[in-house]
Amino acid sequence: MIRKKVCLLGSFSVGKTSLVQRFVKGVFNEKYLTTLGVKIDKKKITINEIEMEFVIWDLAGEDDFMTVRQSYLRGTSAYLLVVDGTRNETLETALLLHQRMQKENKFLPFVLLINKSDLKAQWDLNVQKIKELKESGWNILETSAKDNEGVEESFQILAMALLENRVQNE
Amino acid sequence: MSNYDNKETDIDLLRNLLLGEEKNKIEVLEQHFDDPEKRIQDVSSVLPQAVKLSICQDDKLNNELIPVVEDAIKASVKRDIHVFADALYPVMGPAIRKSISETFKHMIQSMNKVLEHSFSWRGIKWRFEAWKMGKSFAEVVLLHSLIYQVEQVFLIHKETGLLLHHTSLAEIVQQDTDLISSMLTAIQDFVHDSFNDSLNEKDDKTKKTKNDSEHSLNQISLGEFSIWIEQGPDAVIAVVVKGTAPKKLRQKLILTLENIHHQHAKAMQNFSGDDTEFSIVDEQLQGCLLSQFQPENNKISWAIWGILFGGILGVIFWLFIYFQEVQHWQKYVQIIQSEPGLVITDISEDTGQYVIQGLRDPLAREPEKILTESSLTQPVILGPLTFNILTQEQIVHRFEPYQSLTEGFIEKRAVQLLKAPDTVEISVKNGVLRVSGQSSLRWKRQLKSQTAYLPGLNQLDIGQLEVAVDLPRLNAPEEVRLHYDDGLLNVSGSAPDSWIQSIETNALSMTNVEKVNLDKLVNLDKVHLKQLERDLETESIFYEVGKTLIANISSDETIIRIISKIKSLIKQSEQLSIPIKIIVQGFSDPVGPYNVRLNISYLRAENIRQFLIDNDIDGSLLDAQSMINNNKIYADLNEYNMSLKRRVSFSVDIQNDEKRN
Repeated sequence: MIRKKVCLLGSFSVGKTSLVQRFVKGVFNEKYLTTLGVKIDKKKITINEIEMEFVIWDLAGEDDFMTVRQSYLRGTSAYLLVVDGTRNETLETALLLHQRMQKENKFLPFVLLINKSDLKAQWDLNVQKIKELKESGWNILETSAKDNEGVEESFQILAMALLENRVQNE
Repeated sequence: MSNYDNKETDIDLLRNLLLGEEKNKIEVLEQHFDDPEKRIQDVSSVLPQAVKLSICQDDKLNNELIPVVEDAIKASVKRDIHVFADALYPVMGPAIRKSISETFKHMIQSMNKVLEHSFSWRGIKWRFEAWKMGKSFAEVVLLHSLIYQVEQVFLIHKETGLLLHHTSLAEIVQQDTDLISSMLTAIQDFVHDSFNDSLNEKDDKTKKTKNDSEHSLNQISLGEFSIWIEQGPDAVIAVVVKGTAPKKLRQKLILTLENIHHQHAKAMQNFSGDDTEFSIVDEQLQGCLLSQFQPENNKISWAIWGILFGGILGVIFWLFIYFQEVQHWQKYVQIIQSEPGLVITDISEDTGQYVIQGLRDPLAREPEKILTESSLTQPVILGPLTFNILTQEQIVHRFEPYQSLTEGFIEKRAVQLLKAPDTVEISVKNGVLRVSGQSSLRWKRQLKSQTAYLPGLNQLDIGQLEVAVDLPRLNAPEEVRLHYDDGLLNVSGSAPDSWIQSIETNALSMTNVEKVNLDKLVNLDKVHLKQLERDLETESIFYEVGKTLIANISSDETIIRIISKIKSLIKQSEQLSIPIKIIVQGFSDPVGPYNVRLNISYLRAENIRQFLIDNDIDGSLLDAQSMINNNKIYADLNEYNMSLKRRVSFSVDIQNDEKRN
């Protein structure tokens, strides 16, 4: 079976851990517990009858005081950029993180998740920027760990991208 | 062109001149190398030695051959399983046997260890520790006797942190090795980033790999566990160690990691998440599952010796007891066999119980009693131990009643049946029941009828059996002989009337006297009475012709004598209480008429009667009778004879004894 390391990147409190919990265990907890360092989980996923196991590195959120440890990103096969729809600055952080990945020559499959779609009324994002990103070919999904919206799908997209990469490499 | 050709030719010529021989050799060699057959021959001649040499030098050839051999075996099994099965068949049996014997050996060793620890002070301490810690005793024993043990080996892809391969001891509970692998990588990264960043920044990239291993986390400790980590360029080897491992473990890890890198460097560099191709490193990783225990005391523990010794002693003791028990049992059977009135028909042993069957005369001793009286069931004292070898409960008696016909039992039965008094002795010999001594008449009378019920008897001898009669009590005079037989007392001889009068009553009042026979007993007083009677009857008083009175009668000697005799007679009769009648008989000579004679004879008798009455003789006892009858007269009577007829005589009538009473 193929196993892939996948990292979840994003600002603090965007809902990375909640997304992993929803994806891996199918649960959601309102309580917020900030992740220290990294939390690792795994989940089996089947795409086109090919089994794949994601080893998901849920990295501590990036903020003014703490940056994502580069070493944690080493060897990752794909990554999810998570943005909190209600906080526009999280989009900025996501873009910065993406740039950092690019800098490390890691042109890897990724998906941008705009989380907290259950609070869409309170969204406050640079819509123009989102549009531009979409146009430039970014995979962008609206998700809600709470309502279980787009979570499975986002991982599916990631898996598909990884499979495509694999075929190309071969 | 021709010049050039010439030049070529010249060079060839020169070459031929200079290197002609070598060229030929090279051609031959070329041909040799181009020919696959010849190369095969060459390789085959050096291959065995080359393999041998390679094996001696290092494990490289082995390691290279492993996948080849494994694939070959797999292919062979896949193609035809029987070929491999047939080849393995002869080795399977011994291998299984060896495995079993090793397992047993190990089991005995571990038992030995547990026992050793169980009975020692240390063992007790550990047991307390196990109780306190809530662990099993075996776990604590392992904890203390273990120096170190590598429980798990992780081969982690350095770049991704993904697990390439994992192996562990069979008894280790499997956890999520993927997560452990990743988390371990994250921790290493964290530590590395936190403490080595400044160092690494100064180093150039070529040194990075070296520094990676030098400054990275290589050991994590957690309670009794530690994780040893060894970094390689593409993979990390991490082992979970219980206890304190020696440095040689790290050497082993380095060597293993190097080997793996050597063999699989490319695969690791191109690793894309598929770990299946790394299953072949399992054997190498297994080589890292090292362990070391406290030097085992291979000597059998004193506890085992103790148990063995105790066991042997127990067996010897049991055998001794069993032997004794059998001996006692046989002795008891012998006792029963020799006991009169008991016949053994069968003996058997059934689940620790001895069954004795047979026949028993009711008069014989009870077997249970014999057993109790014998010393066989007595407790045996052996030092501080007191135990019973044979118990009453162990022996089951099944005896049917029967009658023994041995003389002893006939005798016993006779004594019991006849209820003989103490004065009687009973013995049986040759079928004859001999009864002697003294008994009552009644008992003697019953004897014959009762002995008829006794089997085994032919004859009854009671010649020596006397009926007890207290004859001296009769105070018999010397002249009297007493003979007692079967209730009849025969009295013979002579005795005075007074004794005779009481003898019958006295005798009959005595026990065992039913009858008294006095027929042969002479009554001396009666004899005397008869004598007096005869004496009187010899007397006669003679008269002259025609006279009825006697002259001077008072002084007549005859008359005086007669009176005396009559008085004696009466006295005797009175003493005997026998009534008598004295008849005074008057006679006359036959001359003259009958009436005259009658008258004269009567007067003569009457006159004498009167005279006797006058002389104090009771007249009621006297009777005067004329003895004249009218018979023919004797013609030849002379005077003398005639004078004899003129007389008075006496006749005494004594009544019978019966009349006395």
